[in-house]
Amino acid sequence: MLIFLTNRIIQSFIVLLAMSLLVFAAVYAIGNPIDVLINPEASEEEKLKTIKNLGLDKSLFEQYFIFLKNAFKGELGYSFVHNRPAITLILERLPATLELTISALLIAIIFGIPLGVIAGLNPNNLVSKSILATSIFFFSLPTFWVGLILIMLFAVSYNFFPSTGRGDTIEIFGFYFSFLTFDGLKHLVLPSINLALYPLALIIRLTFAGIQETLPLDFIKFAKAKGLSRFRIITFHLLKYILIPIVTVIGLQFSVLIAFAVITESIFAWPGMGRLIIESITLLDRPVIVAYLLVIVFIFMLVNLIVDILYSFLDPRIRISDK
Amino acid sequence: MIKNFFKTLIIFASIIFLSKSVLSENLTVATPHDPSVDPHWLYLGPNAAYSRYIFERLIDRDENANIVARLAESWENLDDLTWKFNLRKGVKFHDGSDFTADDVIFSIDRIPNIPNNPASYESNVSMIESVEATDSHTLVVKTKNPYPLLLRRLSGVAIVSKSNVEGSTTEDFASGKVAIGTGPYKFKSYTPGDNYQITVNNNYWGVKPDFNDVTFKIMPDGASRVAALLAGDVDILEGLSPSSVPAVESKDGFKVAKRASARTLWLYVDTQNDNSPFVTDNDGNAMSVNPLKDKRVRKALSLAIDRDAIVSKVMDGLAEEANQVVPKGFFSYSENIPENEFNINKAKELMAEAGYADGFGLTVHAPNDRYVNDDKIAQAIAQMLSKIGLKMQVETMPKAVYFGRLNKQEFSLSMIGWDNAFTGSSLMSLSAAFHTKEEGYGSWNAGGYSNTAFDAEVEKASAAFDMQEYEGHLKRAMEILIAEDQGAIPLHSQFVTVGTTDKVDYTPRADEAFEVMLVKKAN
Amino acid sequence: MKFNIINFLKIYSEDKLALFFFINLIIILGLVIFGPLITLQNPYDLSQLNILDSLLPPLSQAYENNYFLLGTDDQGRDLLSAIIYGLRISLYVGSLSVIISLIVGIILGVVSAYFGGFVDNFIMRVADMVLAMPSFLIALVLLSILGRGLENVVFALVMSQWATFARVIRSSALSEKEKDYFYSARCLCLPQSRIIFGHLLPNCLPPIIVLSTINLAFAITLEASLSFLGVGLPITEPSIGLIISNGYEYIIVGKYWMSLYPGLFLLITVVSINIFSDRLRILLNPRLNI
Repeated sequence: MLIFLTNRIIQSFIVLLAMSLLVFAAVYAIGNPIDVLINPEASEEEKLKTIKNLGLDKSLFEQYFIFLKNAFKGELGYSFVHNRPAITLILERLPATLELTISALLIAIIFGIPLGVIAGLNPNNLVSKSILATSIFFFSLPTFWVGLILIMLFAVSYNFFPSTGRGDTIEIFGFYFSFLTFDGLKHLVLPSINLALYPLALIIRLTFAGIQETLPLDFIKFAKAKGLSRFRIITFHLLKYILIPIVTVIGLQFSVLIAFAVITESIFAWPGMGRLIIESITLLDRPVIVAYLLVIVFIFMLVNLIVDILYSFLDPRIRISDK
Repeated sequence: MIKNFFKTLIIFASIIFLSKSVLSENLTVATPHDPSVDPHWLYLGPNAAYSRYIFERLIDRDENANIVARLAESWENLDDLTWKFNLRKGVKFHDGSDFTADDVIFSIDRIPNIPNNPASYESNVSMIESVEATDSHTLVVKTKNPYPLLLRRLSGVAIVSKSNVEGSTTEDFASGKVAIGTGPYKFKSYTPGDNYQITVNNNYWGVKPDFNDVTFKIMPDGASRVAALLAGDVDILEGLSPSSVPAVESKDGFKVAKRASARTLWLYVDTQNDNSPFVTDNDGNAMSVNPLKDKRVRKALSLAIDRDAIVSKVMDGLAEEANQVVPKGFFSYSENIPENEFNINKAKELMAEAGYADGFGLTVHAPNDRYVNDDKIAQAIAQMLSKIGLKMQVETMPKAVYFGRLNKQEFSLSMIGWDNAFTGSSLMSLSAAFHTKEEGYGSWNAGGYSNTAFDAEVEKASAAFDMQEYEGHLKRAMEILIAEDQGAIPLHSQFVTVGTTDKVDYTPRADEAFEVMLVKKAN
Repeated sequence: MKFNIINFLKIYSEDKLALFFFINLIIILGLVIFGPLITLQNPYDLSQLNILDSLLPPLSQAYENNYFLLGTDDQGRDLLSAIIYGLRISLYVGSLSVIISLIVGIILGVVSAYFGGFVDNFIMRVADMVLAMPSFLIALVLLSILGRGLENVVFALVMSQWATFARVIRSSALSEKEKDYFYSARCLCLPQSRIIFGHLLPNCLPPIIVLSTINLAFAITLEASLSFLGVGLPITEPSIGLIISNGYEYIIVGKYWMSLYPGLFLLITVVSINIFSDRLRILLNPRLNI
């Protein structure tokens, strides 16, 4: 187990390093940030001074090595736009994005698994068929379109929920979270539903498929023969068995959702990392773009690692081997 | 039955969830922009506008682009190079310390010395040779050259408190630690990307604003801002797109404040290169001559553009046709330049006369996130130009990419919009965008326009202290540029539109900056 | 169940909903292929447009006894023509990117599985790196660097998709490699290319087909999202995603048609493709080890 972990960590580290080089080169190939940010009237002299101050006069390689050196110290550069450390900017906004993503995933899990089970147990009745058909719809809906329809319907026409933004927050360990206040929860509803549709569809379909594959298996028949209650069979035997692929997908979806939150965040004015990246792309705030992408890759790897470890707990057959 | 059930449900839910912001002393603003709390960091329009709340300048521009005294009570020219300012006495910073001449000197010194500032306010102080305090409230400023525009430049220099800010960084401003000025509002809190809050300064020397607590909700997406206003989450909304104006106006309890801004949009035409980068023949091959260098072709382009259709259809009537690079009636507007003409036949004749009866290929470039409906205008122009036989293409891009390429003269026909409120005249547009590129001039001359007679007029204007002389040179320069040379194709001046609930009144500024002090309680 | 037309039709005839969407898919394909012959105008030809026709509601009178059946958009394009052309370009971009990703994926996946060792390791580590990034982000960052344009969008979509193909193809190729026919082919000393393309590949076909249809739907949605964020195809040649996002700001003023109808067309297209791939999956029953 320990060897497996160290192996994975070293592997992840190498990927992170390679990624940083690629991302750095790609992002720094976009136009000159000075052209965007500098005041139109600035003199040539002023421009040169700024370029030098920002280290943009150095070659791409030099810039990268300076970047790496700082990265080891935990600094991912200073935002050109905000004059604050890029990593601080991102971490400040991480809680908002995590809150949104996790609520979306929770919605998807809470509704997805039961719906999938209902559909899977009686695949031929009308309810199940409509669940499956709806899931394909959810699968196919363009997020931004649904977002606006949600705002129009529930915020503008009926005023159930606030249209945009994040509600009141409470500080926990220096980070601000909104899900602990009533106002915050109200603000969270629409964006998390918007973001939840896709993983909801995915979980319904996975659960459905899992149940379909499991029902004919021997151990279920055996459990039935033993006279166990239907409820017990479903919750203990069936669900436990199909949980592995679902956990994997939830893990993978988590990082996908963080990326897709870019769209939801920009429609619902949700102050998360996704909006930061869009703003940074338009303002060519390179340090923030690079730092954001690295943070995302990092989160992705972390989640994968956690999923792998969870595996071994869920399924005794898959003990992580030390090879 | 079911219908009734839903109705009850909806009413019930509305009671639980309904949370209209209660308008009393508080104001909530929906804005697309994140602020910079440090008033000397990153010279972008929105940042300069935000800095007006906590900080003040010696001299500022009011909503009509006129000069008004703020921290300087009065001033005089001792000679062409020397200015004397008498500072307002008894003004206190938010922390209770006195405002003195030392704070001004410190602020002027600080601007060029913030490390890594990609867009410095330096251009507003770079003409200053020296600043001296003759006593605690008198200041003598010497400029390097005669500089009549100094007062306008100083309207871009926010005064910070020396005792607090000395040795601090931009981060200390964002945290509120040193966000201490003399302005009508004090810093309350700032959550980047989410909201910015300010609260009234009870010891303010001037007119107290109508609202005690102001929250800016930062929402970059236009449609979400409108939804937030209509849902009652905010009281006022900055940056309302013309197409959404009817949605706000037609709803009970909401209204839109609008005015013509001092920003004029025009097209740069490449009059310099022999092989213009985006001019091709009809088959898409590069051309050995640049048809845009022919004045007749440029006139034809201008004649083919139906500005009336742009104003009425693309801008929903919220713009005004422009026949020069300042809006109609603005200081330095020349009455001698004829009104725009929309005449396709005449345009075709001119094209034929120039030898391009069959047209040629041309791409129009525009940003897609800078001006009101910029990308739609570019497409409409391409449609119109294709009617005189040109093979048009449109390329739009985020401002982040666009302006860099524009500055390198990479385009053949490109859009820009220039705010004339800062100088209160056409001087900045003419000297930066059309004067031949040389020291201090033509830094934005993306069309490569060059005319010695024009240059001479601009140079005379920028050294003129006499207002009449100043205006005369500017008018003459504009006539050369537009009426004689058609060195640019003016389009329109856009409107500033701000949506509000009917509980507040707002007076928009000519420079498009948003200002909370201009929001008043409606009677 | 064996894959043949009869089984395929059987599965469809048993399911009304699927049949309905299958017919839709065929209609859409017909519109996309023959569209330019039946539309009112070519919405990509600027000289055929008139800004004065912009923002007209559905069933407005157009020129010469014609009607703008679904209204016009903000540039005066006939919305129905624009939708047909837009679907055409979206499907084109989507399928082109899937085909290229597929080719890249097949080559890399099979090479990886066949040669193993260092080659396998290297290719799979690179694929891991790509998979380590959400595909949406890869495309977004690439496009914000490259700028708008058809080739750029296709490139960005390929870059974000090839790794999935390579992985799936590698794993099914690996399992095929264990099977008897593969050993016999090797024992017969058939040339490597023939082993790969003549034997290995046809046997990994089921998962590839299913994955391709899923990815096609995904690519179309992805392209729409990118257009919404302002990176994507040129604005004068709007894809279906761009048409929706152009209409987006008008929903709030009640000019719903500009985003509602193209949204519905997109939805039906994607749903049809997804249902199609779902039935294919049932029919072919591959295990997708993504």
